[in-house]
Amino acid sequence: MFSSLFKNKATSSIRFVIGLNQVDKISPNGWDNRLNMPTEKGEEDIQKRSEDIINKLIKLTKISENNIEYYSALKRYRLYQLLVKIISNAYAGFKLDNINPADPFDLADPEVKKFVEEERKKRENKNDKINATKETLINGIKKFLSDEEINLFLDTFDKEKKLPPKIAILGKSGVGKTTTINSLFNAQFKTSHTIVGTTSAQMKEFTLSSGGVITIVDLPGYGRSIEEDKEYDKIYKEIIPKCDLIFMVLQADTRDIADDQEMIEKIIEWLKLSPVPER
Amino acid sequence: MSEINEITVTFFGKTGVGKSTTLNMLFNLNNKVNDTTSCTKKPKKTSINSFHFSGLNYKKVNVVDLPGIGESISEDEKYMKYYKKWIPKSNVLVWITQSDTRAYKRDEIFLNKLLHLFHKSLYFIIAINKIEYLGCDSDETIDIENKIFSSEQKSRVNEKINDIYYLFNKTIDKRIKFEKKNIIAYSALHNWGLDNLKNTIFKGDKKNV
Repeated sequence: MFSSLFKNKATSSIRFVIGLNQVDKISPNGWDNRLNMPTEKGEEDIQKRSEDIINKLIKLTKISENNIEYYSALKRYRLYQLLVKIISNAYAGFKLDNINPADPFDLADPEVKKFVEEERKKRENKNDKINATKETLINGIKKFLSDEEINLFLDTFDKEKKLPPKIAILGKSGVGKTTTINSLFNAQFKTSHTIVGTTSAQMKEFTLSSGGVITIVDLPGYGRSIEEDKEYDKIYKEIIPKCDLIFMVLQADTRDIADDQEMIEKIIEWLKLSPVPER
Repeated sequence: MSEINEITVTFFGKTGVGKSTTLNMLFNLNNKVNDTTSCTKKPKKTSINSFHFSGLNYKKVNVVDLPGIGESISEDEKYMKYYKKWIPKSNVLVWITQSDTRAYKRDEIFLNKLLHLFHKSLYFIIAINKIEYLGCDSDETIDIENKIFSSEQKSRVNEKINDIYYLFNKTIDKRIKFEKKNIIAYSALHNWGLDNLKNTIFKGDKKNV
């Protein structure tokens, strides 16, 4: 539970995740609709193509592979992998650790769904959950830290815990930002029309199925025109330093990434100037 | 029937919009295409001798496929020399984009950069590919096989054309002749609207005279 907080401080990682969405489009015949997962060949294609883009992004910008994940929001594919990247890179990511993404098997054939449910029940019975309490963890930490350090830590922790995690989401129009939020956080926002996108930042606060509140800042899509981007830059600059995580969605099957490349570089610069979210 | 000596038609646009697929369909060519990686790293010029199109006879038609923009900032720079070489030689410039995006900044940047290479008589066409995607996020999809557009879809196509016209016209700023009818919606994959595009390429500027 505390490890992500420590890890964040120790490695001075950046609170930025890039998601390559719509990987199901990479291999048009490689998707098994009955199971709602890729075929063996499809998975190979998806992995290969995703690695190509990830390597290209690493080469072109200063982003690390720890900050990139590929997935499909529509098919609910690899949402857990994406969530892990989000939790481990978000500032105080522990606040996000009780999120349940949408279940991919809800989209599978009924008999597959039934089979999965039965299997899950069997496993739940086998494994008694190990629930570490706050006390046992703190007792463990006491071995390494002084009382003063512990109190400072608990103070920050309690203050931080009261603030809902704030996630800024951005990407070019049509990359599936809204679908991603809906699948990842099990929410139901409306998707926007092709032409009318988000033109200014929209703040959406919602309660998670597991309790707790999360704030999503839906940033306007970049790359539309030189003039609009100039305006939006002001919004990004204002909001990005205040967020616990910046989540950028790219389309995995796209080849045109020059706009994204510029945006990634700007975000990294802004985050470097504010290593801790401004409150 | 008049015989025209030679004409050069050049295709330009962002990477992945379907430039090569489009000119393969239009001119029965066999340029390599790939869904995921860019194949056109260098300009590809194909010359077609004695080309005929609805009453027009050409001794030679040069079709030029330029590498796409937007792959990365550095690649964009690298390709600049090809654009500088081919655009001044072109009679018709077909600037391809696609329907399922609102992102035209890269196009705008390049239009700004390349505009000084446009000679006064260059016939400039904007071709909007993948028009079938305009129906994607509504319940009804465009029935491309039967070429039926609902009134809502028609209005979306018009909205798209107006949007693109506004953005490009602002940048072109009367440097060359550019009207709304120079914007053609089509689908290379479904072979829809390609005749109209071909007609505009070969006859569009003739009608203006």
